[in-house]
Amino acid sequence: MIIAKNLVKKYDTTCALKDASFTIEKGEWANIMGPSGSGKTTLLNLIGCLDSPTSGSLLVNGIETTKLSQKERTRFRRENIGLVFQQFHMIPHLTALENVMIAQYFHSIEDEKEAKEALVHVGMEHRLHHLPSQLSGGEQQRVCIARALINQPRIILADEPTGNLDKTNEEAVLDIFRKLHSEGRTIVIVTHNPEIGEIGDKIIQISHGEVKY
Amino acid sequence: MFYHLVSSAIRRRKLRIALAVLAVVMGASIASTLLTVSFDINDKMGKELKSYGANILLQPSSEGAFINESELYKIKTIFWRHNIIGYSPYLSDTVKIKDTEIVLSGAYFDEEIRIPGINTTFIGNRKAQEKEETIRTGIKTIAPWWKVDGEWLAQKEALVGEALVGVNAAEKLGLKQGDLFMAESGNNNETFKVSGILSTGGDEDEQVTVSLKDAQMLFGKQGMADRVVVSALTKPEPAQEIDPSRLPPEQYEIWYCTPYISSIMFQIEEVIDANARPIRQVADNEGKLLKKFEWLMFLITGIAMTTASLGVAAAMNTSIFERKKEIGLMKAIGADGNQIAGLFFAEAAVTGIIGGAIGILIGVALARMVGMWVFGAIINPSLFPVLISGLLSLAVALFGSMLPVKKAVEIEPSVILRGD
Repeated sequence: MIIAKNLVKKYDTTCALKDASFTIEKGEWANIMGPSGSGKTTLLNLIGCLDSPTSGSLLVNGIETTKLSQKERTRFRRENIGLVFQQFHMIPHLTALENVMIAQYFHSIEDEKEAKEALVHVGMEHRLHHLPSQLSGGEQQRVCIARALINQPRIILADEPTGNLDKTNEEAVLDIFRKLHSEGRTIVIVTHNPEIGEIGDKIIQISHGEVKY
Repeated sequence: MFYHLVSSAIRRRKLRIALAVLAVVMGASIASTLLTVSFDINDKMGKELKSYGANILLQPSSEGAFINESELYKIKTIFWRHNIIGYSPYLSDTVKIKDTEIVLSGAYFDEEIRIPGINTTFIGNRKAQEKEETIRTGIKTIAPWWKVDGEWLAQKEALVGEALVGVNAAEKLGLKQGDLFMAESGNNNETFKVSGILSTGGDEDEQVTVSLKDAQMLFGKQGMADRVVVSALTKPEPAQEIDPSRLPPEQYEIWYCTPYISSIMFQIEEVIDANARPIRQVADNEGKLLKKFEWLMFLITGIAMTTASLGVAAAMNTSIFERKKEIGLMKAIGADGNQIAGLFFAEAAVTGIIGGAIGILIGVALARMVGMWVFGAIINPSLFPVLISGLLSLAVALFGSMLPVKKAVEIEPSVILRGD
């Protein structure tokens, strides 16, 4: 469960997020929507503990994350959150399998069998030993989803996960999200795409840093 | 995964790593050259310094007594015998030459001495046997800077003894090379031929110097010497004075087996009935000079290593800047500061090890060249300076990476999502 109260994030003099308050229930699919520069990614950064707010309260899985140190935020993130990015962000010199295993390595210990299963889960069993440069955008995104899931996080955060994909791959990725949602995971997706907005349980609309929902 | 991440990062950034390795190579080669030279220098430079004078004086153990010349070979049988560069006995007295009283000294010039074989020394359980050998010793060995205008004393037996007359004495006596003069001592007298005019800048300029044998004959003191000067290769003494009689057995053994001037003197006194004392000026200056030289070496090594460290820092900084996104991604997917630091320090360690190994090889070769050019002798690498250079290279690579790694650790994972 994610509960935000009066979240404010300022970058120097710019206020990226103004008094944002919202709740996302456990197992809910919430879409954060709004125009470019409205503060969507800032909000996702805060929920994912990639950044800390200037003020306000943010409870994630019962933990007040605004009070955590950087080290504690890192630990919290790797235990609780899986991240999927628009630009895929894979380590270019590691294979698909290794890109999944690296998340295991940072979390605890590597388990090749488990990493392979995660890739099978996203339909990538035939591309285990390919480098990112040998994979299509959709395939890279599926590897990223496998990496986000490998440590069994309860919350999946995705920033425009289908933004760089064609229709077929978009559908394949959304199918994976649907499956994860049906398994009871909390999903928060930042998107421009109104079609994705329709899939979720909730839309958090954001404009000029102000949340309306 | 750790190994894989480090090795692939190195493989992908060969040029950057090569630059960092080059910085370490330069530092390590200078460090290992200087450390190898300075480690070996005590011996090499000590020998050079010994050419500026003897550092131990032996005097008879009691007033009016003499040192027995026939016992002197024993100086070359002590534990530190190989550190004895040379020695010369002296016998001096006042003589009358052309009605002028003047000091005449007898000494070895280039005497051949037979050292009997030593077979009583034990090294652990092994009996160290050394064969009989012949050495040449005398003023030519311990005071090679003596300047002779004319000829040194000939070694061959001659009907008339030869003499080196000090430059001031020659002026006083009106003697020049080739002149004959008679020296009177009590009822004895001897005729000498001036083989050369001697200038040393010391007391010898006021005296007449002849062979020890001639002086013994003139003074009627065959086989005797009133003092012996010894030139020994020594190590600077520790700051506090050592009283060997008060040392516990283990420390006594260490002291005995270290070529301090005090332990060498002690060993000489064990075999020769004489009192040994250091000729302070030479011994002290020599120690101080070697110490200063060592400090200079360490200073240059320090500067070289600091420069290498800056080179590593620059290369690492660029590498980290280029990998900002990758670091942000690693942090976003769960890497903590220690894991990131570990990856970069491992990379730096590899740089240090490779650079250190190449640098040491170059350094050892350079040290040999320096040895040949400066000291005319081969400097052999020893483990200690090689080990120190290796550790220094590693330390320099790690130290140089500290600030860049700190920057890497501080990279916010949100760079990944912000896209900056």
